[in-house]
Amino acid sequence: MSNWSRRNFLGAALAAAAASRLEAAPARAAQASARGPRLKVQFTPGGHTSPLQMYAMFTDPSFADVDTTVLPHPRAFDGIGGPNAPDVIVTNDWITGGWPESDRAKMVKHLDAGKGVVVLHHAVGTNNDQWPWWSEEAIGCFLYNPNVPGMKTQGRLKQFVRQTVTPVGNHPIVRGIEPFNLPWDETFPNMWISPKSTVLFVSDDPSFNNPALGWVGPHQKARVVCFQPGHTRNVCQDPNYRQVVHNMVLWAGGRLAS
Amino acid sequence: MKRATGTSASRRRFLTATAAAGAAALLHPARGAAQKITKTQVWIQLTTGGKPYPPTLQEMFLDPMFFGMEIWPIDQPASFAALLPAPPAPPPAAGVAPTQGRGALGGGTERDEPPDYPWEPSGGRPHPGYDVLVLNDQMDWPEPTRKLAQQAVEAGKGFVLLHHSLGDNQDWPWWYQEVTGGLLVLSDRGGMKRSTVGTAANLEVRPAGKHPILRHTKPFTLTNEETFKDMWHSPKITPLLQTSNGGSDSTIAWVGVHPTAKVVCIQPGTSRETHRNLSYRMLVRNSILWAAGRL
Repeated sequence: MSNWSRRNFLGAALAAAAASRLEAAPARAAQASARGPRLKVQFTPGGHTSPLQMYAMFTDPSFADVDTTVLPHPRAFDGIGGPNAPDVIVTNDWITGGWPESDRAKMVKHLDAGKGVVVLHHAVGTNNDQWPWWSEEAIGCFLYNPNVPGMKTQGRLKQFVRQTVTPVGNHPIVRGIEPFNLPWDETFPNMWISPKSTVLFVSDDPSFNNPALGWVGPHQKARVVCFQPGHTRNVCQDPNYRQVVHNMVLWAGGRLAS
Repeated sequence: MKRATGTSASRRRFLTATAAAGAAALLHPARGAAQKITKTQVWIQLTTGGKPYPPTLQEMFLDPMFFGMEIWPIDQPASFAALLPAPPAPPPAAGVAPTQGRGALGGGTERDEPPDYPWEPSGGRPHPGYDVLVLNDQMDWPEPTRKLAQQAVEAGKGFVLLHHSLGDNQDWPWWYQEVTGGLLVLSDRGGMKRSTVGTAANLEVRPAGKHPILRHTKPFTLTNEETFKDMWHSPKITPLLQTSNGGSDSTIAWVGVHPTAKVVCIQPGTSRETHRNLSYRMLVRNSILWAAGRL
């Protein structure tokens, strides 16, 4: 088989795989929309570069069952408690100095109302050691905290990992998801994950202290879920990545049965 | 049989040789002289913040018509430092091997970068530098941000202001009087009346004048768009687009007034329909290229 025909074959195989995913996506979206009006989702980035593909993920046909608005800082949480309050807030901000007090109060209100939060990539470091309650009791992780033994001396960035992501357990978010390869991403191999969190996905990258890549946070009333990947354009346009984020959004919005 | 000169095969060989010579010239533009890196892409910082909008804004920039542009979203709180020339890097200290990671956190970075990745924000590689700042935020920038913006304006950088960002910096007259030439007035101030905002408007849009940004632009229609009426406008602006919609000011896109920076202001840009309108996309594309000095 010549190089050219191998390329044709691979191209056709990839196209067929993509097509089958695209056919399945509207079906999933239709199933979810049959359960009620579209979820109101607020995507809040800020403070760090993110690829265009991260935003464009929310215009993917598989996200047709959610109505997404982008609202970066400042005053990103002012709508909480109002008539157009989001059901789910997806964060990818990088505010290591911590949100201002007014934002924290609004977020507590959102959580106490039992609503959803999905924390992506950069946002696992937001508030970090500035608001311990957020890190320990809501999202269940520290990206950096010099008071946690071992975190001060080891590398905290690894670029760019090609890893296999494997689902763990039988949580609704992981149901139907097979292990998949995730190309070229930035990882944080030295995070502290709360033992009160429920791990959803693990990485096979050997540099992780704790292989957890995705987990449900420990907050008792709200539905909080974190997914560490999401740095590169390669990852943000990956269909498997988008499926995981979509499942997380639906679960955080109460649209996936526990 | 003797092969005739100028056949397809020999033309291909000639074109191949010419292309190879051209590529070699591009790869080694200054052999014998000091090596200089030439950026071929236009680098763009896209900054939003403080106001909601649909994700179709960023989706727009994935359209192939934006080919040749490296567009990096960084939303508020955002720095404009990468619009300015980077200071020379200090010489590496002897005995310090690991690359530094995120400055705020310290720590090291292990790297294995894909060969075609253009640049990486967290990796410590020198920033190529942005040519154009595209804005859709709405806020009063803090003082350090204003200082960087002013330096970028005076350095002749490009600025494309979309929709919400026409309300930026209500309390910084230099910005709207000397740079953008327009302000969405959010509350009565300094003799200016508050502007009004209309929703779900259909706008018949027509080009005004013969500016390079308008090349190949024909009249077009925008739907479900937000309109601004009674904005403050400088008499020195150069109109680009106009509409006769009664809920809107007549001039809805214009070239700003600063003598060194290249500034374009575009009032529409809030609806999914607008972001997916090909004429709108071409307008934004041309504005970026012109602001970067490429038109």
